Amino acid sequence: MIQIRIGGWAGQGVILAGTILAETFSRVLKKNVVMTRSYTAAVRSGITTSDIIVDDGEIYDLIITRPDVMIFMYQKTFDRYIDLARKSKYVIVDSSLVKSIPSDMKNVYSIDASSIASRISSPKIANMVLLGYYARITGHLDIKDLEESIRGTVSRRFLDEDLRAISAGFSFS
Amino acid sequence: MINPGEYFVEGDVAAAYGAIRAGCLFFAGYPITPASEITQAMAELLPRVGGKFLQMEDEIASISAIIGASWAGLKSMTATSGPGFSLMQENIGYAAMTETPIVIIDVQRAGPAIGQASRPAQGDVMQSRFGSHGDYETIVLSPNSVQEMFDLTVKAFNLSEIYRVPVIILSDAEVGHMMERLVVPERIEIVNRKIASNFQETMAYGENLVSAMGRFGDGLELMITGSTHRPDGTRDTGTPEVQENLVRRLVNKIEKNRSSIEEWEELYTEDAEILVISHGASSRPSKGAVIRARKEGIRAGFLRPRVLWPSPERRMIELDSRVKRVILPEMSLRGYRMELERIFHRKVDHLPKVGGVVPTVDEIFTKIRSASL
Repeated sequence: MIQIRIGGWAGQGVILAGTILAETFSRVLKKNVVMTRSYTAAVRSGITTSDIIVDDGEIYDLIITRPDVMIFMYQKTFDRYIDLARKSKYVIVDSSLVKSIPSDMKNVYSIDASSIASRISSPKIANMVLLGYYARITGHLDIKDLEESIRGTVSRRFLDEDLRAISAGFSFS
Repeated sequence: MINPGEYFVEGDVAAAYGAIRAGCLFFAGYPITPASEITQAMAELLPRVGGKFLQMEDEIASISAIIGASWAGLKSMTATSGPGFSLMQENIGYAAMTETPIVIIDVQRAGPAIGQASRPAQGDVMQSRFGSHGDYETIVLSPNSVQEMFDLTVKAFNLSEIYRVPVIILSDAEVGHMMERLVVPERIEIVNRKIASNFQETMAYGENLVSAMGRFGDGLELMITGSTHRPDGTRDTGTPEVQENLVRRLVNKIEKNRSSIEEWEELYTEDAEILVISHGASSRPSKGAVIRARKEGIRAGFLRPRVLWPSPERRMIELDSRVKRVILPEMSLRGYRMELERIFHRKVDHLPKVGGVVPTVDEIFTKIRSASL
C-alpha cells in the first residue's frame, strides 16, 4: 500500500495534481486507487488536500493514516498536518512557499517548484514540477508513466508546458 | 454513450453514467455542493442521448419537474444535497401518493442548515425514510464506492419502475467526490415500467400491488392528485375506506415485497460475536477494521445494507441470537441508530463521527477491540 497526501491552498492545482497521480496508478499501472479530496466552500481560499491510496487489493481507508509521501505547496497546510508529516517517509515541499520547517525533520525534500515553473511559463505549473520531483525521489512510478497519464488528462493547450514541468522536477538535483 | 469499459471518475459522475445507461431521459436540478457534478454531467450527457436537461430555479421546482416528466413517460432524476433535499420532502410524499417513479440522489453533507458544504456526513438517514408527512414507504439505496454509484443508480431506476415509488440514493460527499475505477459492464439489466394500454389497466393491481401506469399524451383520461383518491384517480377525501385502502397499499407494496428489495453485503457473520454494521462511506473502513480484528483472533463480523430502507431486518434478527455486541460506525449522531436499536431490542455501540471527516480503520478497530475485552 502507498498513502500520499498533496496539500496546498485553493487554486494551486492540488486536486488536479492528485487526479493525475491517481490516474497514473489506476490507468497506467493498473493498481487499485482511491483518490479523495478536501476543500472549503470558498473560491480560491482555504486549505485543500488530495489523498491518494494505492493498493493491490480492496481499499478500506479513504483518508491517509500512515503516509508514505506528503507533498506541501503552502505553509499553512504544512503547519496543519505537521504531526502526520513527521511520520511520513517522504515530505516534499515547494521551498518558495513552505519556508518554516523544523530543523529536526530529516524526511523533508525541498524543491523551489514555483521558481522552476515560472522559468518554464508560470508558477501555476508548480504542481507538475512537484509531481516530477515526487517520481524521482520515491521511485513509485516512472516519469514515462506520468507523461502517459498527463497526455490523457490535461488539455492540449497546456500539455507541452506541463510535460516540461514534470521533466524539470524529475531532473532536479 | 457510456460504452462498456473502464473509467476513472468520481462517484457523482458515475451516478450520471448509471442514470444514462438505465435509460434516464429527463433531469431537472439546481446545483449544490457536493452534488453539482451530477447535474453538470447530466447537462452534458442528456442532449447527446435525446434527453432533456432543465436547470430549475430551486429544488422544489426540480422535483416537481421530474414528477411531471415521469408522467409523460420518461425516466426522470434529480440530484441534490441536504438543504435541497429538505426542500424536496413535500413532493417526495406527492410522488409516493401519486405512485410516480422518480430517482433522487442526495449526496449528504454535514448539517444542519448550510453546515460544511463540501464535507461528508450521514445525518439524512431518517429524513430519507420519514422526511415527508403522512404514512408512506420509499426505497433508499446506500452506495459506498464509485462502482456502486453507477450500479445502484441503475438499480434505483429499476426499483422505481417496478414499484412506482420515489427511490432515493443516499450518497455522501466522500463517495460522491472520490475517484476510483469504474467498470461499465457489457450487459446491464434494465427494467421499464408497465405502460397501461387502456384505462382499466391503471386500476388493475398485480400481486405486487402495483398497476400499469398511464402516460400523458396517450389519450387516457388520467387523474393525478395528491389528495386521497379512488383507484380510478377521482378525488375522495371523505370516505374512510378510500384513504385506508390507498395508504395501506402504498405501504404494503414495499412492505410485502421487501424480501425482493432488500440487499446487503456481509462478511464473517457465521460465528460473529461482535457485529459491525455500517453504510455508505463509513462502511469502507468498517469492513477493513473487521478484517483486521479477525486477523487478531477477534470474532467480528460485518454487515452493510446496500438497501438502507427497507432495512434487512429479517437477516439482522437471525444474527441477533449469536451476536453479543452491535457496533455502528457512521458520520452522524443519530443516523441509523434508532432503526438498529428497534431491530436488536438493545443499545447499539454507536461510533459517531461528526467533524465532516470519514472514520478510519484504526478508530473502528480500537472500538471493536475494546468491545471484545
